[in-house]
Formats: sequence, C-alpha cells, structure tokens
Amino acid sequence: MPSLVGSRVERKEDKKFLTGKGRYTADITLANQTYAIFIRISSRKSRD
Amino acid sequence: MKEVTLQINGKKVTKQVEDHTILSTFLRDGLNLTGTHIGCDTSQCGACVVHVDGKSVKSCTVLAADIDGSKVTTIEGLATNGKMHPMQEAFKKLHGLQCGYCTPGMVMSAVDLLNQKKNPSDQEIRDWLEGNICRCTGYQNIVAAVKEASTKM
Repeated sequence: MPSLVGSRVERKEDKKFLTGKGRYTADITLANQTYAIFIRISSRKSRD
Repeated sequence: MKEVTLQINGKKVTKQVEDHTILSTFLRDGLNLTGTHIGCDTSQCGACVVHVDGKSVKSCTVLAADIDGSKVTTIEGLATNGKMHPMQEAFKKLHGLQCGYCTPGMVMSAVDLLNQKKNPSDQEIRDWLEGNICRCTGYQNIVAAVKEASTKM
C-alpha cells in the first residue's frame, strides 16, 4: 500500500483509552477473583 | 458511615460510604467508572484527576464524604452524545498517548487549564501538567495536543 507510507494514520485503540474504556488489569473484576501480595524479606539474615 | 449524594457525569448518585472512602475508590469500585486510574500512592502521578464542581482535582486525595452535594465529571463524562470533546480529539489526532494509562488524568487536567486560560504557551501547559506524569510519550505530543485543543475550545 504505497499510499500509506509516510501518511498520518490515527491509532485504532485511542478512542477507548480517551473515553475511559481501556481495560487495564486493575479495571477487571472476575467472579471469585483472588489477589497476590508479595511479602519480601527485609534482609538476608532475617527470619521474617 | 455517611450518606453521600453526588452528581456524577450528570447523573445523581446517592450511596452510603465509610468516612474514609476515597473518591477514586467510590468511582472505580462503587460505580465501575474505571476510566479514572490509580498510578501511585503519593498523590504525585495525576492519573486520577477528575473535575469536582468544574475544577480539576486528584481524586485519590479527596474523601467522597467531604464533597457531598458536588458535581463530579470523570473521563467517561467528557464526551457528549457519543461525540468526543475537542481535547480528546486533539489527543487522538496528535498521538498524545501511547499506553493510555495517564491519559484520562492528563485530559481532565488539560481541560481545566483551557477552561481557565485560553491559548496557554508551551511553558504554561508544561507547568500546569507538572502534576500529571507520563512514562511513555515524553510529553511532546501531549503539549501539542493541548495547543491544538486550545484552537478548538
């Protein structure tokens, strides 16, 4: 499609992002959804 | 618990909320208006910006109970009758977004700027948007989009 090369093309996904309809992971809630929390040890020698 | 009545994007909403309920939680979890995003926990990033009584605020730093009776406009309420706001059109036309995560807050913040000042300079736009962080675009096209929108508003 030589006529598209160098021409200004708008993105297909922008409209949903601009109107607040993007589905980022935090926006999705499934039934019986579970959550992971990372607990990090504070030092190498620590026993927590 | 407190009963709070807000006008959200033109619609009256009354709900019981805990005193500590944050506006962004009220919108995202209570009303499923997930266009308003959380990008930090320090009130720095601006992904949560909405309008309360016409002025931009960081919804992560507002208690729903504190603004009982107010009008709230979120990114979902900016377009009217399916037609995008000039700011949204400008962002689309000038590639003012990549991942889109900062975009709702950026757009809402920029709309308030243009409501308060016509034809801001590049520097005025950058100063106004200091509270809105973008990791993708480098801000160049965001500033261009705001300038474009200012010719249409």
